[in-house]
Amino acid sequence: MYSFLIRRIAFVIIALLGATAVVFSLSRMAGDPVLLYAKPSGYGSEDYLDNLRKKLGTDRPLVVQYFRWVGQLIQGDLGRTLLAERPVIDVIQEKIWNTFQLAFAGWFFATILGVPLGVLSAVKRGTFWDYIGRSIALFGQALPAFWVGVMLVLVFAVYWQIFPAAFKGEGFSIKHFVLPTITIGWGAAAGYLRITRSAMLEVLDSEFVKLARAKGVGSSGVIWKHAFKNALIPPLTLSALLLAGLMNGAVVAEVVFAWPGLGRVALVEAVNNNDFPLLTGAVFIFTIIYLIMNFVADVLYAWADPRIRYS
Amino acid sequence: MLNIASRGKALVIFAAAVAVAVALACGSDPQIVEVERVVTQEVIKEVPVEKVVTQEVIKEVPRDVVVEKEVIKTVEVEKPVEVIKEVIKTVEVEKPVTITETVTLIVTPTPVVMAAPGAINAPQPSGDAGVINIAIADVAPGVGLGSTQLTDAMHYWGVGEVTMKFVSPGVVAPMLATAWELKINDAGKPYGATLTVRDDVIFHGEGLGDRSNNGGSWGPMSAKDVAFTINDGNNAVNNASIHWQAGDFAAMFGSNEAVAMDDSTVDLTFNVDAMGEPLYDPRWSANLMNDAAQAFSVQSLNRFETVGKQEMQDTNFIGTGPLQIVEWIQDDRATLEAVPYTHWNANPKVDRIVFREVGEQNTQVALMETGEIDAAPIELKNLPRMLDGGFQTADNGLAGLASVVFSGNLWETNHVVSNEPLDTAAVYMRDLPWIGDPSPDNRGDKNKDLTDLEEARLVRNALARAIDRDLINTALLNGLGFPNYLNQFSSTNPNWQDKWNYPYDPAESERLLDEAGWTKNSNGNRFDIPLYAPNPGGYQEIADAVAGFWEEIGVSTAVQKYAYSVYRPTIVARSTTLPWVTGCDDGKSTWPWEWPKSQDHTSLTRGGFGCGLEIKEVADTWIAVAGETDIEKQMQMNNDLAQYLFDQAVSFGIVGVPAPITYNPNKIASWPMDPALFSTWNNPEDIVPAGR
Repeated sequence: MYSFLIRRIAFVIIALLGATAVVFSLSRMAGDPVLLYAKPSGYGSEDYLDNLRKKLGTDRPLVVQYFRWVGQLIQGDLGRTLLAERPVIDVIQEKIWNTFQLAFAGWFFATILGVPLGVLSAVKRGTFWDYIGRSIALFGQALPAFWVGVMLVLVFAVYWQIFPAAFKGEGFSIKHFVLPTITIGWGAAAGYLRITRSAMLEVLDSEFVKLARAKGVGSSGVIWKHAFKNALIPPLTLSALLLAGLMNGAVVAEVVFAWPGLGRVALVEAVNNNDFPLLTGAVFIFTIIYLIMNFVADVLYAWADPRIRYS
Repeated sequence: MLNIASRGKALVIFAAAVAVAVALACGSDPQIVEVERVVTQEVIKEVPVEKVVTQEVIKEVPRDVVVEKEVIKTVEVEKPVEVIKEVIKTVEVEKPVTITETVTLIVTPTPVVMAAPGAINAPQPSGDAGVINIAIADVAPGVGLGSTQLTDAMHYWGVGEVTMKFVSPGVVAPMLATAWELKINDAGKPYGATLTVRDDVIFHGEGLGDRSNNGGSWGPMSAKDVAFTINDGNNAVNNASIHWQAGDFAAMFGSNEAVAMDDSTVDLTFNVDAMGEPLYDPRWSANLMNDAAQAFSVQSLNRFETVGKQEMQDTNFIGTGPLQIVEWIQDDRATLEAVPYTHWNANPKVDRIVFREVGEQNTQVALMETGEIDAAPIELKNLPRMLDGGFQTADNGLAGLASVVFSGNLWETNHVVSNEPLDTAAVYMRDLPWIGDPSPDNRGDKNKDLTDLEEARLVRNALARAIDRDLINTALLNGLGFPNYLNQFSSTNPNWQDKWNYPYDPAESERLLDEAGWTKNSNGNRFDIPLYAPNPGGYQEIADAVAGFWEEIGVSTAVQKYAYSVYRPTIVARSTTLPWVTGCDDGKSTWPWEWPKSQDHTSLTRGGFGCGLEIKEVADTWIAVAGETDIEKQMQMNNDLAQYLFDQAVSFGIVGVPAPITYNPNKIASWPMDPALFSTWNNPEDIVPAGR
């Protein structure tokens, strides 16, 4: 158990260093960040640029800059954004809860839609319900989330005026969650559906399920108690990673629905402005979330399948 | 964790045991009997489900019939105004059920009666009439000092204020400054200026904080605040400044600090050149210190000294405008409200304005259609449908001049002022058809009878004549823009001369390319050219269209769209050879004809942003026009410059793109805007709500 935890934690640290180092390097490969802020100043501005470099710390070698950033990170300081010179941690705190709410809603929607439909599709294999399920899986994975979002706005906000077209609403407004949740959860539900269906089909054909039927176990008992629990491992693994993935992937819904989340700020604005402190800070946070969810997935996996041991 | 697994095992064993027990209890041969029972039960269960579906379909039909009847009745009345009145009365009853029915009545018949097919109708407003919601593409940072990247747009938002106001070319009106006077040296050249500032201006309080004392004001504005703001932004005085106009301040004032002589007088001294001569820019009062342009918003020195730099940098901007900040969340929303005291100029007619960041154009249109937003910068391609539906537009006359700029043509060898040699090697490492090497002995890449400069000039002229600007205007801008031919001169200006129009003439383009030596190969291709379209940016579709036209004359064009943050460093470093679609700095239709033009085409901007062009003729003209006080002479010099730039085709125009604000007239009665030189919208404080 302990060795498992130590190995996982070591992996987390290595992955964190790797991810941030890559983003840190890529942001510099786009050019000297100082040149983004060099105004039409006329001659004699090299001193000005040098001062800017000193102020931003970009006058040092890249490796030094990176480890300096890591040193600050250990002290809980993610630096300041280039654009507004605000503490990065403040910007992240301001936005990340909105992103998490949306990602969780999308994950919940995907789970309650995708998993039961996957089971239904497998149990009713070759029937009308199977075709419905497979169609949802096909369209869910084929339709871009951006297009789905725009269509949902057009139909449900503009034509039928059932839901608002955008924004998060004041406080906790469920009606503002509906369309963005479907937008990001639709594709995820399709993934769930496919993986659950294939796992269920495999299990339903297995000997122990036939045995259960032969022993006279009721249909629902066979499906949910015997088959589903054994088919649960792939969707369970997907589930944890999906939540982390939706944290990153919510950016599409955030753009379409003007959702004030971190993705729009960190992955759109920061990239456009090459705001490397914000970009690196946000990637650091996203990486931590992903690694935590990955860890949770490992644990759930072991819980669901007793054959798996931490050793 | 092991316990959980063990428990799972135990559960399985328990379940198995129960199953065995049940099986034993059911007799010796239970299998056939139980399977038959299961099948029978499933069939019976499926029947009622089918019945329920049938019932739902039947219920929907009469609802549709009811809606159709209501529509027909409304059309027969043919009094849409009366229908609107009925809606208002219904809302006052405050019965949610009634409101829902009423909405169906309004929305359904209106497009049939009032508007053309596809029209987007202006909805009836909801919410407080004094609160206006506006969608914009970006809510920039609203915090900080001017020197720490505070958005330069605070005066466009009605929160900040500047010293002068632009009325028309050559006419500048007082704003925070009531009077100003140039200081003239013995040689008759202006070397500075004195400003007299108002004494009845006060700073805002801390948003929703203490309002007991004029909104918790930071006190009256004085000359010290104006001088502090200028010095804070000027990177030649405050070398930590990254103010949006940090370089402009430095170019205009150099290291000369603005000085407050007393509470109402500010003394300014202009920059000097290497010879000690004053560098006078005639635009000083109409540009850098003007409400219409990229300027500064006056900040409180008192606040700076009281709370300190860090606090001022981390909290909302405190200005003097008629609107003050209630809440400002970068990349989300900015909530502004009318100041609670009598403003020196005029108090807003609205109570509150909420700017919401909506980056996606389709969402902006949808929000306008549903009434969640009252105004937005709707793109021209969507505008006719909205105008058909009753929406209206407001604008300040500014159109962006989308142009093709052939960066990498660095023809100056020495800096125009310091005479220092300029490093231009990076752009001449490869022979490119659109870039001319000014070295005197450098012959053309293909036609050795021509100089490289002349060969490249022919190529650029060919590319300029291959574009059907009218078609782009019609197809992409719904005919609401205008063809344009030079980056820094608008074809809508009264001084424009038709001889500077590039005709759409593909045959002539092909002839010019042949003459330049860039003949077609066996694949019909002459050469490959990249074309960069910045992201974010509004000209990407125009770049696609240009590429299509160039393909037709055998120039294979690859449009590149990526973050501007990647491209900009190459512009500043003068290392790029990528042509790009941009307006640069001077691509604004409202810029006066007599202004010095295209500083961004010269070495004057070295070390900072430029268009990637350095042309001695342009630099010389800029300096000559800047030093001239006779407007007629300025205009004549700029006419010559226009002719030169037309011949060189180094930054030719494509179309002028107006950027009006579209608003719902049911919520906003009018939005008068002042003339503008940079921002496509301003004066939100002058919005007049409908019904007030």
